[in-house]
Formats: sequence, structure tokens, C-alpha cells
Amino acid sequence: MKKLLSILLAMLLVVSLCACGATAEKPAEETKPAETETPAAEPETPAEDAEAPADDAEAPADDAEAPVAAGIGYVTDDVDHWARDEYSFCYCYTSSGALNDNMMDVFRRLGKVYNFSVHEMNGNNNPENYIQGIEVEYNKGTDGLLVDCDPVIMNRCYELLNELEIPYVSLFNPMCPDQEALQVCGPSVVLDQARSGRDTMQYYYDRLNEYWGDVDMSKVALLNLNYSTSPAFQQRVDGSTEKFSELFPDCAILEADGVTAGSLNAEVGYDLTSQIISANPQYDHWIVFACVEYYAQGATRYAETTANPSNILITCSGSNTLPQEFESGYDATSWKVAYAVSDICYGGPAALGLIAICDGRATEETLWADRILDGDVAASYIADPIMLTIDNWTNFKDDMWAIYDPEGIGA
Amino acid sequence: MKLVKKITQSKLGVICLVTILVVLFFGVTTTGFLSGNNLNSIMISMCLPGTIAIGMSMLLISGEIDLSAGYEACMGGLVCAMLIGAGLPWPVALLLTLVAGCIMGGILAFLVNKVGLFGFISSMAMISVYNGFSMIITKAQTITISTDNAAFFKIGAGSIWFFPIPFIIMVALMVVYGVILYKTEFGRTIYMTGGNRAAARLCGVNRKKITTILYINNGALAAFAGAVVAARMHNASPSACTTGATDAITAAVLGGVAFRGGDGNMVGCFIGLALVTFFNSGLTASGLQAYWQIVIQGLLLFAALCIDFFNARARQKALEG
Repeated sequence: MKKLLSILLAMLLVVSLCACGATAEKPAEETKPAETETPAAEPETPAEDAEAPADDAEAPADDAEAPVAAGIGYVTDDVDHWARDEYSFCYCYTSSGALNDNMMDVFRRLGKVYNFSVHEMNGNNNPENYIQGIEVEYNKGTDGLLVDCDPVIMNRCYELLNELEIPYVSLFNPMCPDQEALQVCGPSVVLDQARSGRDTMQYYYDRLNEYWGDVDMSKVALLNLNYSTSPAFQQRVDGSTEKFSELFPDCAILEADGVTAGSLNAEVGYDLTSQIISANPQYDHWIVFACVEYYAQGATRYAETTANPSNILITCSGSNTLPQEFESGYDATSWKVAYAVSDICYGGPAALGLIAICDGRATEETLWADRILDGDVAASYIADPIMLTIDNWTNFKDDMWAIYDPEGIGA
Repeated sequence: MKLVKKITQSKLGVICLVTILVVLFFGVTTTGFLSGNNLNSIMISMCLPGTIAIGMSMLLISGEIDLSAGYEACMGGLVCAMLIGAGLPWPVALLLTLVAGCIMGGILAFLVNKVGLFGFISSMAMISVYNGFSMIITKAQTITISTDNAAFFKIGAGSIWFFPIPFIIMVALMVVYGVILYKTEFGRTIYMTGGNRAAARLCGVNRKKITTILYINNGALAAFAGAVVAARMHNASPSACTTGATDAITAAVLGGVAFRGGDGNMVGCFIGLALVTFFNSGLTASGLQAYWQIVIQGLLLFAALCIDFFNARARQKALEG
């Protein structure tokens, strides 16, 4: 009986593999249409920046130094922040991490410049804690909230914020109570996720000759390192797939998904990259797009173990890890660029927007009025990106602080 | 036919057979699966769960468990990276990392043997403690190790001939611990402790002493595994290695280490590890949709647990009859 069951289970396993193996054999092209579908309600990038050549993206300071003049809630607002009492803000996030720590540092420094204090509320990965935390902040008399909310509880969060009538600005995720319609209902400072994929592909395309010379295009492939259960990461990968298909129409697109390993760390990036690249020796030049920096870092370590690391070009979205790599002596052989939005570029607009609402100069619906897209109720402030490379990483953050704290008051 | 019968009669034989089938299946259906590069990357992928699985197998055989081993590995990597960053020579940093691992294992041993808590619950609590602590000491940032430490990086990514150095270290450790388990008095008492606690006590076996040693050993191995990963990645982060314990337990149980103690060996552990790694690598390389991969990984573990369950029941019947 035991033997029979053991053999049956082993056979079940093999049959499952065979059954699913048929799906695996699909050529990459077949999957392209689905992968390249851009979410219908994805916000268009203001000023059509998304289609700008990568060279433009390398000069972000110009864009960033001259925020759009129209509307309220910008660094250019003619307001004396020290003529009023200090505001008390709370930065509400769902779980602790490097990003949240960095944001708190940014808000503390901005507070010294724009006359507000900031404390934090951590939902500890528990949506109920998060919602209760907002109520507690309201009862404490906090003047405004910087809301970093998980899309899963966005609806409840939006209802509560409106019920309490407490000023807020959403960070990272657009305030869309209906996650299917994706209508932005509250002011949000966000990253244009798909653009990060598009711009990095364009960047490598523009410099391909410099990096690889005259390469046989039939041996070039894109590897997307995805984490598909996160809608934001999926949008990044959609962007890279869409642009790559357009720029390299005959090249293969492969994808590895980190959800199989269940974690976002460098080992997973290493393992996925090594498994896909070594199992596809027919391609000898790769562009690897990682949805998170950790995966890009793992892919970089794998590239270093290969005979020609420069045949693997790696990129991602994120501003923290690549500078650390450069600082520790990495020479950008494979990981040459990251689509980076400084934490300051999220924190600055969010804080200034919240101040404008608390001042009564704007409401959630009129803040950054020039950035409200058709069909939306409130504005989406797309944080300014730069293409971070070995040439500009040292001044990256200082350049951003020069906009929001030009005199270095909060430093 | 006799050979087939012999193979299917042994738990290890069945796992070996399944592993061979998996390798053959992916070897035939996936281009490049059996290429040198892919085998090399599979060997590297085995190192973190494999090194943790050594200590974990010993614990499981003794009837204990440490769910926090992945987080101990994470802490080990962080300690090592921070010490190197503080200017210590890497051998000293590695030694101190092992000491840190012993301390982490010692804490768990204290909770289990002195306070009297279950290892399962205590280690779950320690997961949270280590996770939070790793965030505090790093401010949730990645600790990057300078490229000046090329010799240290070799531990994580160097090769001798075709074989990655961390893989060689892992296999060497498995051999040493296999000999300890199978050929020494201490090893036999571990089986006795896990197989029948009452009988072990009556035989004069000091269970607490043995499990304390095993917890400390497990902590040290986990911390070492974390340091090896840090050497491979040139950095350590609070999110690194955290799934190490789950992967190690899966590999050990698949390889025939009894979840309830008293049975298992390092050969089985290695084969279980190979099965999991080949399987995961093959699934990724085949391009199968991620969510199906998760389902199939679950089926694999389920199959292993069933084999373990039916073996235990057969053994029980044989003892009774």
C-alpha cells in the first residue's frame, strides 16, 4: 500500500509537470500582447515626459528646478512658513523598511525648513492597526497625514480620511479607492511605474553600440525579473516589455517571477538570473530589467561570475542600492543605470502639498490643480526621476536638496 | 524488477528516483538545463539552504526544530558585513560571526531547555526579534562590503575547478556531520533522543545537553551560511536569507529526515536538497507561469510528507506486529 501510494504520488508529480510543461513551451512572442498591455487607466505622464529620449532624463535638474508654476503646493509658492504655528504631521506607513526610514529622515529635514514636526505611525503589516492608527492620530490632534497606504486597504483608508476630514497627501500609491477603475480621488505623489521600464530600455537602446558594438540581434534577449503580485512592480515590467518589443522587435523576452521564492532579496535575483541565463545559451547578450533594486543587485553578482559580464546589461527602478554599489567600488560593468527617484522628490512635494491644504490655500481636490488628469478627482504628482549612473551618483541627493533646502537649513 | 522493488522499498530510493526523473524531465524539455553553467548555478543555489539544512537535520532528528534559522543567517550576514565594514580582517569577522551564531542558538536552547518552551513557538518568537533587531542595527538599509575584500568574496563566489567554493564547503560539512551522526556515540544519542525520549532518559542520555549543543551548532551553521551569502552578494541586508529555514526543512524532510525525530541522515538531506533545487531551477528555466510553480512546489512537499507519514506508519505497524 505504502509503495503503491508513493509511486502514485511520484507519478502525479510527473504528470503535473508534463501537463504544465506544455504551457512553458510557448514562444516568447505569444506572450507579448498580454504582457505589453498597459493598464487602461494608467495616468499619463505630465508634459509627456514619458516619451522623452533618455538623454533628457539624464538632465533632471533642469526639470526639477523649474516645477510647473501653475497650481498651489509647490516649492515656488510665495508663502512665509514661519509666520504660522508649527504643524504636526504624521507619516503613516504599513510596514517598516529602508524606504520608510529614509522618508522619515527626509521629512525631519524638510520640517526644519518648512516649519512642521513629524512623527511616524507603523501599521506593522496589519491593515486594522493601520486604520486604527489613523483614527488615533486624528484624536491626538495631528494636523495632517502623509499616507503611505497599501492598495488593499485604500478604499477603507479613503473613506476614513474623508469621514475624519483630516488633511492628507498619499505617497507612492495613488489614492484610488476603486482599484479597478483606478480613478485618483486624493492628492498623490507617485512614481510613473511603467515609465521606469520604458526609459531604461530606451537608455540602453541609445547606447547599445557603445556597450556591445555590432551585435547579432538574434542573440539578444530581455530578462524581466518580476514580482507579479505587486501591481506596481508588474507595471514596471509591463513598461520594459512594451518598450523592448518596440525597440528590439525580433528579440526574445523572458520573465522570471520572484513570487516563486516569496522574497525580495538579492539571492532571489541571483538565482533567477542564473537559472534563466544558463538555461538559454542560445542568447549571448542580455538586458536584465529588475522590478526592484535587490534583484538587480543579485543579477549583477551573477553577471560577475560569467566570462563576459559586459554582455549582461542590468537596470532597475530605485535610488538607494546602485549608489551604494558605486561607493563600495563597483565599476558599472553590467549594472550601468537605474531609474531613480530620490526620496526627497517624493517627500518634498508631499510635505509642501500637505502644508498648502493645512494652510487653507488648497483642498485635496484643488492641490496641484495643473496635474489633475482627465477623469480623476485629484492630482497625481509624478515624482521627478533621473537616470542614475556612475557619472552622476555622487551629487544626486545634493542636487535634489538644492531644490527643497537651498540654504541647507535642515542639513 | 528486483532493482525497482529494492529502490521503492527504501525511502531514500524513492527520493533518488524522483530526483532522477525530475532531472531527466527538465533535461529533455528545457534547453541548457544540463549545461555546465546551469549545473554550476544550481550548486550555488544549494548552498544557503544546504548549510542551514545540516544543522536543521540534526535538530529534527533529535526531535527539535528552529524556525528562526533563516533569520539567524540574516543576522550572521549582517554581523559579518558590519564587522568587515568596521575594519576587522575578514577571518576575524567570520569567527565573530560564528560566535554570534552560537549566541543566537544558545538563546533558543535556553528558552527550550531552561524556560521549558516549545522549540517551535520559541523560534517563531525569535523570528520577530531577529527581524526587528536586524532593522534596528541597519536602519533597514543594505550593508555593502567594499570590493577591497576580494578574498572574502571568494568564499561566496569563487570556484575550484568546476565546483563553487561554497558548494565544496557545504558538502565537506555534510560529510563531517554525516560521520558524526552515524559513526559516533554522540550521533547515536541524537537518534535516541529524537526517537524515544523516555527510553533515552532511561538509558542515561542527557537530552537537554544534547539539544543545547544542537541548537548552538544550528545557530553557528546558520550564521555561517549568512556570511557566505554576504560574501556572494558583496552585501548583507535585513531581507536576506529569511526563507532559509523553510527551504532547509523542506529539503531535510524530502530527504527522509523524520519531522518527529529519530530518523534521517546527511545523504538523504543532500538528495532532498538536490531534488528541491533541481526542481525549482527547472521550473524557472522552463518558463512555467509562476503561480503554477508555487502549486507544484507545494505538491512536492506534500508528496514528501506523505512518504514520511506512510513510512512512519509502516514502521509502527512492524513494531506492533
